Order: sequence, then C-alpha cells, then structure tokens
Amino acid sequence: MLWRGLILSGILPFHLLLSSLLDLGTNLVLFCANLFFLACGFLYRKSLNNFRWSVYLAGYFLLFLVLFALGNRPLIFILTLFIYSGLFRIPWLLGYFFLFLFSIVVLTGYWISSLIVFSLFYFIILEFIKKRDNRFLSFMFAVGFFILVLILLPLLNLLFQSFPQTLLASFNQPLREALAVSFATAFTSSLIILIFGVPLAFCMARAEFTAKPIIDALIDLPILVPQTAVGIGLLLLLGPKTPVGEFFSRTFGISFAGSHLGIIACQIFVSMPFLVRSAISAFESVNLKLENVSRALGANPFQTFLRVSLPLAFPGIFNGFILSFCRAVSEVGSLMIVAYRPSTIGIHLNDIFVQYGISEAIPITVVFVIICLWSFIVLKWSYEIRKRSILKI
Amino acid sequence: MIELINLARSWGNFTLSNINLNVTKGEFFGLFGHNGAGKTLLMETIAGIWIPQEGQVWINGKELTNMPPEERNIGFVYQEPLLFPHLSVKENICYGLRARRFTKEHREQRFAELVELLKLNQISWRKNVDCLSGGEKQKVALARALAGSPEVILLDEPAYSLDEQSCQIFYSLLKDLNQRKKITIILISHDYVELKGLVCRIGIMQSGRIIRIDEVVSI
Repeated sequence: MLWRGLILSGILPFHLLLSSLLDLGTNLVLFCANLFFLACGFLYRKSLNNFRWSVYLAGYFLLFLVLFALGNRPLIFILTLFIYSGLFRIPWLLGYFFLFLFSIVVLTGYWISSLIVFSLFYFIILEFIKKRDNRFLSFMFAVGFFILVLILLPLLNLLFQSFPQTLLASFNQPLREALAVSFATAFTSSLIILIFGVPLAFCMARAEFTAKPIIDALIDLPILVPQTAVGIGLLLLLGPKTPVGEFFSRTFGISFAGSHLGIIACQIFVSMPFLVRSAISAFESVNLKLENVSRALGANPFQTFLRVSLPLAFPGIFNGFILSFCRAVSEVGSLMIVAYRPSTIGIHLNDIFVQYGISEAIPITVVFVIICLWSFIVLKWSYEIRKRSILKI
Repeated sequence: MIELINLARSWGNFTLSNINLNVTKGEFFGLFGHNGAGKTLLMETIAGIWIPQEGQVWINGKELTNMPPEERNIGFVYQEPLLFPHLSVKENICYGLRARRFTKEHREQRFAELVELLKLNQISWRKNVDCLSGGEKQKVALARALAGSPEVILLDEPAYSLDEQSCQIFYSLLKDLNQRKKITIILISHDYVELKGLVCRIGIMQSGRIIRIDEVVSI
C-alpha cells in the first residue's frame, strides 16, 4: 500500500507538470498511457516473482528522457510507453524493443541495417545466456562478432539503398547479358574444376608421397597471387601473340583473350582452391577402413571410389562446388586484363561506375549482391537436401 | 589352407617380422595379443590391404602375395561393424555381390540364404543402418562378409563393442558356421579365456611377431 501511494503520488504530479506543455488531445492520451503503465505495474507485482518497481520505473524514465526530453517526440513516447508496459513481462522481447528504439532514434539513417546486426548479436547472446555455463564463450563471441559486423554492415546498408522500382529499371539488356555471361562461364569453370579437382583431391587425401607438401602449397597458390598478376600471367601464356595462343588460334580458330574461354581460364585459376580444399577434407573424413572393407568384398579401387568414397564425400565436394562457383562469379581483377569483353557482371558494374559514377552503380550493385546471395542460398539449400537424402536422415 | 611364410612389413616405426603360420582347412584359429601387438595389421596383410615387403602368402595352394584384395575372396570383419552409412541394410549385404557383377536373381537367392543362415529375419531391410542395434550391425557385417561365399573369414575382435548376450549369440553363430559350413576362421581377441572356449589353436602375438602357438585341448 505504501508503494502504491508513493508511486501514485509521484507519477500524478509529474503528469500534471507535463500536461502544461502539451495540447489537450496529447494530454489525454498521455494520461491513459500513464494509467496503463501503472495498472500493468500493479499486475506484474502480483504475478511476477522478481518484479521490482525500481527497474520498471527506470525503463519509464529512460524512455521519457530519450524520446520526450531529448527527442521531443511526445506521441512516440506515448506509443512506446504502451508497448513497454505490455512487453515488460517478456524480458527477451523487451530487449528487441529497446534495440529497435535505439536504432531508430540514435542511428536514424542506418536503422534497418543496424537493427538487423544488433538483433542477430542479441539473438545469439540470448542463446548463450540460456545455456548458463557459457559466460566465457559469450565474451569470445562478442569479441568475434566485430569482424562479422564489418562484413554485414556494408552489405545490409547497400541492400537498403535502392527502391525496388530503381532496381527493376536498372535490369536492362546489358545487365541481363552480363549476368548470363557470368553464370554460364562460372558454371563451366566450376564443372571443369570438378572433373579435374576431385581426382587430385582424392589422391591428396589418400596417398603419402615426398612432394605432397609442395602440391599442397600449389593448391593454395591462387589465393595468394594478386588477381591482376593472375591476369597478366594468363595473358602472357594464352595471349594472341604467344606460342600457345597462336597454336590455338591456328589449329582450332579460338582465342583466349577477349572471349568466353579467357573468362573461364581466369575463373578456373582463381576458384580452384575452394573446390579442391573442400574435396580434400571431405575425402579425409571418409573412414579409410570403409574403403578397405569394400576392397575385401570384391570391389576394385575404381568401384570403391564410385560406390563408397564419392557418395560419402559428396556433400563436402558439393559445398566446395558452391564456393568455387560463387568465387568465379565474383572474379573481376584478372578479367580486366585477359577478357574485358564479353563483360561479366563484375566488369559491367565497373564500367557503369567509371562512366556514370556511384549513383548509377548502386542499383546494379544491389542486383548483383542479391543475385549472388540468392544463388548461394539456393545452392546451399539444395546441398542440405542432397546431404539428407544421402545419409537418409 | 592359409600359409604365411616369413612375412615382414614395416609401417613407420612398427614392424611385422618373421611371421610363419599354417592354418588348416576348416580350422577355427584364434589370434591373441595385447593392444599394439600388430594383430589387425597382420589380418589386413592376409586380406591383401597391405602388400608384404618380404615373405609369401599362400591360400588354398595358390600364392596370393601380390594379389589385390578384391581378387582374394576373403571375408573380413573389423572391430566396428563399418556398414556403409549411405546404403540400406540389404544393399550393404549385397554390396560384394553387386561389385562382382552377380545377376539380380543370384543376389536375391544368396541374400535369402544369408538371412536364413544368420537368423536375420527380424531386421527390416529397407532401413538405414543407423537404426540397427550394435549386435544387429555386427551380424549384418558378418552377413556382408559371407555374401561372396569366402572360404576364409578374418574377424578382428568382432565382439568388442557388444554386450555379454549379443557376444554369446555372435560367437555361437561363428562356431556353427565353422562346423557346418567348414569355413576357415581366424578370430582376433585380447581375451585369452574367451578364445580358449572357441578355437582349436591360439597364436600369441607380441610386438609384431607370433611368439607361440598354443593347442587347445577340446573336452
């Protein structure tokens, strides 16, 4: 009773003080909000075990300070007060609500992207808290999340830069052609890597030989070499005035520079490690004894590879295929030197940026990123389905 | 039947050396030794997974020293059942028959025989192998090894992860196979007493050598 009296006698003069600043309508709504707040408070005091008036009131004054006193938005204050009072019994939801408020009030220009990032962080931390004994892990995660923010914020911010209408308008003929070139070449190059990379990976996973560390380093080499250096190297080997280039153009009438073949050559070079690395670890994870059993049962090494090792390593290999495909689609640096035309999506984007500036480039970038993410998600998804069907879960 | 003459091979810092063994046709032979004695490696060498650096392997009067495992027709069962996780129970059992390009009718017939022989009627064939219990898994592994009608079966502590009861069932099954079908069996174990109740002779291995062969007097 004492508390009730104190709070009533505190809030009501406070309300009267505010009412002199506001018009009648707002005043009335504010009064209702305050009443609702108090009513909820008394309800919670009965129903919630560890309810504390001080915490409940602190939230009220925080909202008041930020939205009313500093932000000077009385109506929004009233609205949030209703939501706050209602949500107080569900603390985790209240957390999202405060994140939302913080993003929209403090980081107004970037509120959607920052809200997504904050919510993701909060969501994972909540999961850690629920498991209780993971205090150190949640600290480590909080530190590590910083690097994810560096990736997430630019991408999310980019995605919310354009309106759907602008995106549709930018989806013109050259962009469609560039997309077709990108996807066709990336798919071809990933297939070629698959055909030659899987046997290499199997050998690396199973055999022991002296030069193995050297081959191992060779597989990683394309990641280390700068993209433009790759382009110059390939041009020196396959360009029109070189012996190899001349041989191809004389015998088959094909040229690498400025053609689809050149694009494929560059993409193979830069995206090879992704597929081969995943395939190696996929084959390494297949129990060697299973292969021994298969051999003892009468299957020759090739049959064993086809019926045991390959199906069991398939999920990992497919994952590598997705990675190398995505890497191939996003290749630009070496293409600028070897095959500027026909333009891939990356080159097309670069063209637009150089010719018309950033405002014209934004919608295309958004389309590019959306398509890349979308294809990545679709491929990942089909991979999960395939994995399940293989292991018959 | 199985004859090993001066067999030797080294793997890094472990060596099998001077292995001489003669197992007669239809014999139930036991191989005893502590962990790291080289029992499994010796079995794998007999099965053809490793090619010995010295010595010879003779089975059924033929020299098989350099023959790849798929041509030897030796049944091999590891400590773990090692069923193929991506295949169903039936596909697992018929794996060797498919690899050897047997016809479908032949496969079905052989499969029915094995079910009869190993009393596997309760297991559902279309099931994923992960749904089986430990004892069932090991039985399926034995059925898979028997599918190609081998004359020799090598078992590497097959009852290691089984409980007492499944273990007894499994061993009586082996004994039955040995007596009725006259299949030569080499069984590895690190339990001497257990072996004594099952086999005719026990070879004792220590750090890569067979140091002694004990005769078990049957009552």
